[in-house]
Amino acid sequence: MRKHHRFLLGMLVLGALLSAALLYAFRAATTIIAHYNPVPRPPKIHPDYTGTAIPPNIAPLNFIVRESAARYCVRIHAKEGPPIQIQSRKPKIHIPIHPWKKLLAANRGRPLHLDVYTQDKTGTWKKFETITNTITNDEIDDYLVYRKIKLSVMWKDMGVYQRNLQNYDESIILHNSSFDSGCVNCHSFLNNSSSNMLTQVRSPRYGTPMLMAQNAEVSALNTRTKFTPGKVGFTAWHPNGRVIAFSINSFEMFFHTAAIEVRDVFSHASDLALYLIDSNKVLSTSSITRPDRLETFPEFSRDGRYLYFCSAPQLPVERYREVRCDLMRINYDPKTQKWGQLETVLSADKVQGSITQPRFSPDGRLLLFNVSEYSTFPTHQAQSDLYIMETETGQFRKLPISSNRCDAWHGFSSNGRWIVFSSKRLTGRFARPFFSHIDETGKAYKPFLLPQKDPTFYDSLLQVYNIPELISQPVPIKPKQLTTGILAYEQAPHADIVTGATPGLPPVPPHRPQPPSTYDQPWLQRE
Amino acid sequence: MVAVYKHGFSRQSLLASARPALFFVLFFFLVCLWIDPKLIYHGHGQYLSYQIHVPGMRTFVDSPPFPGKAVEYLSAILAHYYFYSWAGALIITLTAGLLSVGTDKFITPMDGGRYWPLRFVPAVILLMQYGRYYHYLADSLSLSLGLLFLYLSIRIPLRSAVPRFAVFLVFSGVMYTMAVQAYLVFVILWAIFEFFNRRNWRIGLLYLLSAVLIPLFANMLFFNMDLFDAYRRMLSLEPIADRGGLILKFSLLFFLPIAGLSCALRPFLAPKRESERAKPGRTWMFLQYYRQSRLRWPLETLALLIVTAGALLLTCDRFAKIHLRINYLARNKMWNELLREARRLPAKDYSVFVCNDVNRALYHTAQLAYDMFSYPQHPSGLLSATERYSELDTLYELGHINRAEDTAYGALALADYYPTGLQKLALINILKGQTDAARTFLHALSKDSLYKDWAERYLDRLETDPVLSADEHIQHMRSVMLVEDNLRRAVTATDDLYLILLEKNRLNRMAFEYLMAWFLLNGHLEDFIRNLNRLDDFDYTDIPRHYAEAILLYTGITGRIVDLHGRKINVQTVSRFADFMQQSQSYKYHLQNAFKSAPNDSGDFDNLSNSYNLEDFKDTYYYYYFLVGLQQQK
Repeated sequence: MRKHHRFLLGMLVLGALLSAALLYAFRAATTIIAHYNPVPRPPKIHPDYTGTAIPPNIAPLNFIVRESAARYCVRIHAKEGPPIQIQSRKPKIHIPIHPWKKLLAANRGRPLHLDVYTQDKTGTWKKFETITNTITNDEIDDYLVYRKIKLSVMWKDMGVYQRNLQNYDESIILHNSSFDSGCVNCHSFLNNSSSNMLTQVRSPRYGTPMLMAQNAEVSALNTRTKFTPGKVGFTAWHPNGRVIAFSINSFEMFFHTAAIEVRDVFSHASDLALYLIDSNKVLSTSSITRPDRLETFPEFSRDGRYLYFCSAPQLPVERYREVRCDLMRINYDPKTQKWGQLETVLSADKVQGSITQPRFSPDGRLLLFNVSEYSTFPTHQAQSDLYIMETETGQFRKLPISSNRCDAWHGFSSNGRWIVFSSKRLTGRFARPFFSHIDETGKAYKPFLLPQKDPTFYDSLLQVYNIPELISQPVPIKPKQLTTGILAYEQAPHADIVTGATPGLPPVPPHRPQPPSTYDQPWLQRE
Repeated sequence: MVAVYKHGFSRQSLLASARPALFFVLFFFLVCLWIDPKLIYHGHGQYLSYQIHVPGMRTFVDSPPFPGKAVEYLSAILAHYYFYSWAGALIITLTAGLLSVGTDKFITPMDGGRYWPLRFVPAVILLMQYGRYYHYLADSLSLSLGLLFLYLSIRIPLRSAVPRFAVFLVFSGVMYTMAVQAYLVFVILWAIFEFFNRRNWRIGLLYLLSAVLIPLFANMLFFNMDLFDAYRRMLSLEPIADRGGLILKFSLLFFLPIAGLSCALRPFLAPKRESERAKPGRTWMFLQYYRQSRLRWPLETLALLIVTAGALLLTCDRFAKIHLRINYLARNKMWNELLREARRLPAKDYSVFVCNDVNRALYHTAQLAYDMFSYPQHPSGLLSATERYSELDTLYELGHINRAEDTAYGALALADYYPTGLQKLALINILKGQTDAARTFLHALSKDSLYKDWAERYLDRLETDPVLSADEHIQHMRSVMLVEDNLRRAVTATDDLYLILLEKNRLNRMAFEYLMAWFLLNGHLEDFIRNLNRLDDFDYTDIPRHYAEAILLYTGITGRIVDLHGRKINVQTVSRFADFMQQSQSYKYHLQNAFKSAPNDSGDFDNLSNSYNLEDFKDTYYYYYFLVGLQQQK
């Protein structure tokens, strides 16, 4: 061995020894706290990861202890496997990912306990009541796709992202800066699979393509016909994967002089149509394009026999608070392309609100939908609740996990045991993704917030999350493929129309006066 | 004989260092005191479009990578420090220094060392840019990086062409991805250096060819852009304010290639003639004398400093500065200074936004009803229909909380980071009882060292009193803010905007004065008179001058008597109005004729103005009514 080789080897050994010594010196203290004063209440932690059910494959639920102390210690333990103990001088608790995964995997179906200890300046430890969450047997899909936008109607800095739920990795699927800051609209997947994805774009420069990604191939669909303007709103896949239902909405933003939500959306017109992928045709019928009704939010039943949708009377904008959607359905046979009779599944009067965003569970047994005071667009409502309906019996109920703020954009996981929704429950202003476990009986458990590496991540985040969709594999499409699709839209052939809408406008229903809407004024209650 | 000092510096080298030192000291003070970078900071989002970034905010995180993102990021971080004029001046001076050193290191090997003023030219152009309030810091930083890479390549002793080309490719890739703003200039400079210094034409041509290929490969590997966009970014066309901005931007970027090329080609274009050398004339003798003279250094240095200051003075945009200063004073509620500054601005340079700020200052100094027509006015002078950020404060103070909130969201979306908007959004959400949302804005703001204390103070207060019920300002705002919802489809500035506020709280003084001012500005005398009884709701001791003028005018036009609720019009106001009347025997006839023909013919007003000496009445409402307002409306 040459002299300088020996020198290099020596240096490497020395480096390794030094590293080992440093690791030992700065290792996390794992001493067991034997003496402490018990505190007869659970600790305040943020985000609120207490009393909830969590999937066994979720990333560590990092949190911050909102108790003032000189030192913090958190012990995470369950029946099986070694506990995780974290000591820190700061209240931020970062849970190591590998021990967390092992602990969760070994304790499916069992409770997971969190013991929080705090030490004051005198060195006395306090132990709070144990926090218990439940690790479910049911895994959640590995990826969550959502749109992040700013609190403005302006199309600046918006994108669709995918997040790996097993860790904290986030990547861009499509960002509007790659096509001149247009709008990236709603996205949807077939059966929670990333192999069939749809998303819409509205760009002053590149047009309004509906981007369809199937098996890693992107095509920009042009749904413009002599009856349809080509601006696709909400979409839904037929279970056969060859038909897409879409809405064509003519929205206007209007403005509340005094309301929690500043802006609101009024729909001047809204119709539904189907896009037949194989024949590049747009198909519709007069039942779903009525000029006196606003048809929106399509969703196919899991057997593919029915197209469910929401339908409200078309009213002048001054009567916006009377716009309430019924839940409707119409029979459709994709083989013969024949339509059946229109049926009302659940009327707005029955739920005393506007029904929107119907979503079926994968087994088709449950239908999750949204109820708000009015509107065809619940996102801008100060409050909207999640309801669930058993499709066999037609029985419906408000999910107790609904908050007193806006909960919307919900969807099921591929196994039907998890729902994800976008909720403003934390601040009333910023929508964040929450997950809730649904058991066999349809009972929903306390929702928990999408975990982040930095537990204070959401505290200062000025963007909102909407349309969270769970998918089992990552989207295989590269952002560039989608951008290329957008750029190629101009060359995309127009779809052919099969049947069109019914012309003519029937009379407007009679006016139902509404009481004036005012703020809650908590300062008045206090005084 | 050269004197050697004890530290080893020669007099010559000391003088050579003293000149740039003097130059940059002058440069710093010109930027700090004349240009005043804090005006650029406060003009962000209102008059100037650029990004500010605070570490910890997600301004740059969520967007995909794009060429030049690193330099834009750095520029946005540095722009944050423009809040302090001295810090901004230091940043601009250091950038100018880097450009100057880089220029020197480039032109010296190009046989341009003797043309020492050239090294100061980029700094002077930068000064001229800032004199016109063009904030293109990213370009300058990018150019500095390009010059640094070029200098490194000159210092690295690579004689063989292949490793030299490899080094170029690495630097070129880094330049395109991190600092695309000056990428094209960078490639041209390398090519020029290769052509004329190293005399390798083939490598030089390869450099130029790479300018076509590198964007292509970089786009394939790192970026997700339209190919046209990938090339367009090389031209650094955004943001460009106007033609002047374009000229100065490209002057800075392309000065170096032109200077380098000129230095390199000079021996070919102007060879020295032996005959001239042999026969020195008087000029030659004088030049020889001058070159050896002790006066040479001070004269040349003085000339440099004069030219620098002169370039700024000749090209600076004084009105842009006044606009920005008015905007700054309005944001900081320095009302008296604002009105002083506004008086310096000629009427033709009053924008709607200046009118907005001036009227707000007049209201806060209790002069709106008395002196608003002493300043140029515009029918949209209270709130423009364009919803600019300047309106945010006016809307907020009036009590239009939701409209202010909406404007703030728009500002935040466009400007990415807008601390004033965040402050306002925090307050708005506290007002609306949305404490949790307010906390989000406060937490975001607390990441900014400039606003950290303010944000943390509010966060602490919210802990003990979530609705801030003891806060006087909050209580006042709650007393004037709208709480009953109304549908508004289009957000337009009309009397309705103020009337609904007065319906909520008839004691909303700002809404009242703005309502009356709106009637006056838009010539709605009937509505003005109808709302005059609202004076009883406030503690006016007299009838404000402009209201009195409007009453007299109304009486003059309609012949109707106005109920003044026991108040009297100031004698001076009446006599001044009488003077105005006496300017023409046929006053009423002319005014009524002019009034009737106003919608179609502005000629009547011009004739009226020329026929009588009305300039003395320029600060009166009736002057505005006949000679300014209605013409503007047309």
